[in-house]
Amino acid sequence: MKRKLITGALTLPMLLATGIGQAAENEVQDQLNAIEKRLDRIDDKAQNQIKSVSESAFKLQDRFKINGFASFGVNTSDEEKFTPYFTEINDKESYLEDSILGIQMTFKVNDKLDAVAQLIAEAKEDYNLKAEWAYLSYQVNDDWKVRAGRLRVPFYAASEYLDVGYAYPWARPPLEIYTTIPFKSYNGFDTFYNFNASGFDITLQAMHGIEHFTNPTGAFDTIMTGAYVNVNYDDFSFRVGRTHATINGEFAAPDGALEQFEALAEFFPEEVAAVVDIFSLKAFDVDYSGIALGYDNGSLLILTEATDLVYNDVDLTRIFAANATIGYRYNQWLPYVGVSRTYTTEEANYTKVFGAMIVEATGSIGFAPMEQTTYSAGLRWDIKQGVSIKTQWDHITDLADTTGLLASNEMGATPDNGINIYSLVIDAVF
Amino acid sequence: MLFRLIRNGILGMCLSFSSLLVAADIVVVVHPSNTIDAISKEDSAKIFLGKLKSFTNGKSAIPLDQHEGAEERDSFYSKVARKSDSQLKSYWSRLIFTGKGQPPRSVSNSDAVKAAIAANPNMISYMSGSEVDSSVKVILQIP
Repeated sequence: MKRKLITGALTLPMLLATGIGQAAENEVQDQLNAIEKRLDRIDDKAQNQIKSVSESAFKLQDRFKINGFASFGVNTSDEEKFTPYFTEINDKESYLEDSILGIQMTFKVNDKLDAVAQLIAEAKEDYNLKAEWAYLSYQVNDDWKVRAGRLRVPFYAASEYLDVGYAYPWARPPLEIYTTIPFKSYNGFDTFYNFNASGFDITLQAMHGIEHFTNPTGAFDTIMTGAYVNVNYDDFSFRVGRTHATINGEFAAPDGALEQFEALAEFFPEEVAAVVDIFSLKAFDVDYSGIALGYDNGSLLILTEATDLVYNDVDLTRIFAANATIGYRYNQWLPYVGVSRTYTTEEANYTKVFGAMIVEATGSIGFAPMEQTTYSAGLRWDIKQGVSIKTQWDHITDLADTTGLLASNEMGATPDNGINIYSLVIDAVF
Repeated sequence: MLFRLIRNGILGMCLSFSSLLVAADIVVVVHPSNTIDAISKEDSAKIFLGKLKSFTNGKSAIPLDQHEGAEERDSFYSKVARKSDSQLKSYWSRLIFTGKGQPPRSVSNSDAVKAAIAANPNMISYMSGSEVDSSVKVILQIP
């Protein structure tokens, strides 16, 4: 449009000044038209190039996404002899337990297919990279998704995002619930189906897979199948699920331990026979069940969860655990208090006699009667977009002469007055 | 003639009065061709939180956010979903890192919202009421 005005403005004075004839005038006009067309073509081409460059940049940005999270934490306790199971929290200040870096890459192969990898580096594992998630995800339709590859176990409400501190209120998730599963990921597949019904937002999830793990009692292959229901309604969230696991492997008694037990056969014939049975097992079943109810109206936050761990076809204990946390948000501040409790609800006879010895010898839970309560108080401060600082005090007590979920570095020791754990964590997502 | 003047005057006054009212509001907008005329607060929250993927007419709904830190965004989420910026971020981190969802794409201002909606009739977004023009249709006003 602008160019037409310019050529028009040039044409008129040119014609007036030279006073040449009609033919020449037409010729000039034709030439100008040709130039104009050529300019238009160049212009179009440039426009197209700009468009295609920005489109492909947009597409790449759209197809490849990187998300990350990081936590840096320090903790200590007032107890040198006992540490909560599967942690290294003791009376020295430690920066290893809660520090982690994670990066997630999502590549959109096409409209339906995503390839996702989440790599984490944990301080306590010397920041060695490992893949907690690595899977292909296929979106069958708007409501239905299927994933296959390496996935995280979804046993309990926060299981799948335990590494992402920013995603939950606590500085330390309830130990009673979240430290009793010996592995975090599995190889297999899962599927989700999401639908809405009269205000309820419902997600059904099912999984099947296998994971190999070793602990001080042996090397095991766990074959798992689980089903979970998530319901959100207004400010309420509800989750219920069960995972059935068949654990194949052999319990390995520590060297000389079986002989020691057998020497006591004269006094405890049934119990010793049961212990010998346990250590000759090749397979047994476990059911992990969980139920959680939450409420969050933006200010008031309530999280409750109860879990039940049952060993089938094997004389071990049955373990119940529950947590209730309540918090209230004042702008960027979220003070919260919580109580968690765990105890064995069924105990085979031998566990009452030898359980503590086996637990001590193997460093593995499930063999002995056990009881523990943790009182927690904490404060989360959302310092800025994507960054929070959390501090938490945990008081582990009510052990009823058991060692609860505490590992001891001294044979025969029982914690008397409980222990206190102090944690400070900075969490970020980006 | 006089009648017309008076009528236009009254209309004009009404219009400017309503635009004054609109100015303080956050409005939820869609493409003018969308057959939806109204949406509930709850449904718009669900669409933006990834819990609902279509409009009540069955057409797929693609939410579009304003950028992090934008006043319109903070106001929209606090009024519609009762979530602060950091609560929203925490919510999405639970979904992102479990592979269950990604937050809506975001653009830098209301003009970009209008351009995006013009280009894709399935989009739904929000803006300050004073930014509304004929390129979008208001389906919810949040005072």
